[in-house]
Amino acid sequence: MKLTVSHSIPADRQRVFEALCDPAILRRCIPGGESLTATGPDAYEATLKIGVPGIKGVYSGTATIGDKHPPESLTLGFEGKGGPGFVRGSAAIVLSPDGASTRVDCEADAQVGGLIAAVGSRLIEATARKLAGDFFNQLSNKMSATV
Amino acid sequence: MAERNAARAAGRLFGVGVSTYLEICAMGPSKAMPAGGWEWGCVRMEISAKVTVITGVTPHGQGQETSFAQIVADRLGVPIEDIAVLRGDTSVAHYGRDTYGSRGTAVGGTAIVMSVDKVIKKAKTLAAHLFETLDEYVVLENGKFKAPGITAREITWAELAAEAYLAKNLPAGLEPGLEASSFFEPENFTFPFGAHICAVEVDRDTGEVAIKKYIAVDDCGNQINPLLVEGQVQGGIAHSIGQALFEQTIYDENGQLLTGEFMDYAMPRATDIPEYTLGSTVTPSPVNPLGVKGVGEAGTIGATPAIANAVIDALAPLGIVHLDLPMTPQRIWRAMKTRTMATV
Amino acid sequence: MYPANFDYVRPASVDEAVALLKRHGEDAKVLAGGHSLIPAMKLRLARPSVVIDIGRIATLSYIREAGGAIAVGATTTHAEVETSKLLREKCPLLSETASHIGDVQVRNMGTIGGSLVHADPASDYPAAILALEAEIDLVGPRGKRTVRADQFFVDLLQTTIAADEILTEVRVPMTSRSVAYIKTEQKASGFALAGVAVVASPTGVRVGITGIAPKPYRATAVEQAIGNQRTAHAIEVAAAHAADGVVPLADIHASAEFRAHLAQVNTRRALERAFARA
Repeated sequence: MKLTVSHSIPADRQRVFEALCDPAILRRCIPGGESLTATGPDAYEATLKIGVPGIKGVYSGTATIGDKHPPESLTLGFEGKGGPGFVRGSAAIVLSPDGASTRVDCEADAQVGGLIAAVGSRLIEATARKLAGDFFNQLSNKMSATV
Repeated sequence: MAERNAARAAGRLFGVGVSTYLEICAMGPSKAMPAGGWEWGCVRMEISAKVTVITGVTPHGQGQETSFAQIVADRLGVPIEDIAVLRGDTSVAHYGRDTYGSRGTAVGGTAIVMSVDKVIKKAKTLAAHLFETLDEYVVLENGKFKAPGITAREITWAELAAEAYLAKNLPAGLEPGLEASSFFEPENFTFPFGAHICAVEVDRDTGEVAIKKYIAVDDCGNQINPLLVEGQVQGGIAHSIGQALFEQTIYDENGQLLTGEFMDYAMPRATDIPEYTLGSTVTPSPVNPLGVKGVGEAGTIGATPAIANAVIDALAPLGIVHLDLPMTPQRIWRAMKTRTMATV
Repeated sequence: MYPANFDYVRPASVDEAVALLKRHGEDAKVLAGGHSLIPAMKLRLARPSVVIDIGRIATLSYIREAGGAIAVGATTTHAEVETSKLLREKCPLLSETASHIGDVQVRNMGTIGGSLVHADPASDYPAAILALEAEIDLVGPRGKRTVRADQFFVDLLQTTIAADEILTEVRVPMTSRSVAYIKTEQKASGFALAGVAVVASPTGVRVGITGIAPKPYRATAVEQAIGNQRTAHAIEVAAAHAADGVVPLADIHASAEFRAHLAQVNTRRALERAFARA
């Protein structure tokens, strides 16, 4: 599945870049995030309870941040497994200035497998888009709150 | 065709498709099969004068429980209610090659016929002994043994069975009982054939296909039970409607199955099936004594190309000559999108 | 598969049901007709530890006139909505829409409340509910609140209902016969690839669309474009705006492009039919 989302964050690029690398902030922005711990520089372990209302699954997985070019771009690699299935992939994130805000363009390439792919394929892209939207909305809120 | 031309003149996408087929059925001569192509059958006249038929074929909707009983009832002159057809249990039917390749009746039924004929031959020997005459003067007529010109006496199956099992008066060399089993090794496959015609209309805006008319004429040789034959053809065409128009197993580029449920895998339903006009010709097969060729696959073989051809014919004015199966509305719409209707 | 283990409770009243929801929170799911919940449970995608069956609360099943509108109880089945003489005469869009849901068996069991709360992006009712500007009552520990249709649907499979609330009633206005629901079915499930509901009146047109986007929406661009016009050309021009402002869903059944196209086609057809029935 290929997914492209764009979002505007009310903060400058440097701050947005740092936020994306800060586990304390990520922990509070990831939808359904139940725990997030750093296992090394730019590497994390996380447990998420995600899905759509009524159909949520618990996933545990890892994420790594790489290709860091502050404040312009970074790559996020992720892998998660849970009862309903598994997901793995990467997202290329590009930050561009947009006045006092930053425009975040995210191009993700994800492989989704297991039960949710076999019986729920029609909702996977829409759900992924929604979760990405939720994440960036939360990030926006956090960043404008600390301004 | 008149309807098609009128529809086209009015700018509608109406098409007619034809398919003629010849298929290879009644699997088959063992030399040509990977692990034996014969079939086994047993017929037993019980002491009660009821009949037990055991077949190595396992019908699961094809109806041999009925057609085999018909064959045996006919040949023995016994009421069909008195016949039990046992199948699908390897502790009862030890060997069999089962149902596939339209072989159930053609091969399995013949094994039953061979066994029935063996039972009748033995019964005639016993009857001749009871009539005190020779085997060749005994006839079996309407379920009774007679020796016309020799005696006016008639012997029923009930009487004969009692004699055979009580064994007080058997001719020398004749074993008690009235049962026989046989393996039928066919000398050849059979070759059913037919022609199907389908008319469809394609919705220009949505790409949806509606089947307007469906005609099928199939030749499966002799028909033991025309209702069962029709059922097989109807079911086969229904499956072809699914194959031609909407059934699709989809995997993503990582091999992940995406159509894992019938909410995503479209099966044909009753509302998708048009009224069929079905006919048949009868060209008996020389390969087996029943003259049957098998009809399990006829519907599926004739129908898919007829439907596909009809859709392509409907889209022909737009210059479309091919579409992959299934011809879903999205596929049809994509093909139509870049073309405009040529003047008819 | 069998569902994962769960406890089953059958409250005798709405208040009792609300109390149960309050106690169990996210671990509980409400069961009405069961035709969205039980398939999800059998796939083990939904694993509520408590199932609260409101299907037999008789006071939740009704269709009656109430203050110039028609009130439909939450556990009224699609079959009852489809065949209701009162609705067919006074709010025909709702009956017509119900007749397109699933199949006979689904319509005999599925309920309007259950369907709306589940908010499947391809279900049929939302298009009609939006076009009718219906009102929806939600009852919870904090009392009853009324939500407008356009406030009810929040996101993919998400409505504004709180985890401890129950939908009790849907109120639809009385309309003329100048309505229509046109739907293109996803062949396997019967859900809508594109479902368009139209309510036309002398003063304008309301268009609700389902199946196209993560949540159902009012096609306001179509409404503004058509205004009071009724010509074939005006309809075609207006219908072209059917997917304005939404990112159409894409899946194995239909691309975003095909969905957008179907939205336009069905909008045109729904407008034509609604106007023809005037």
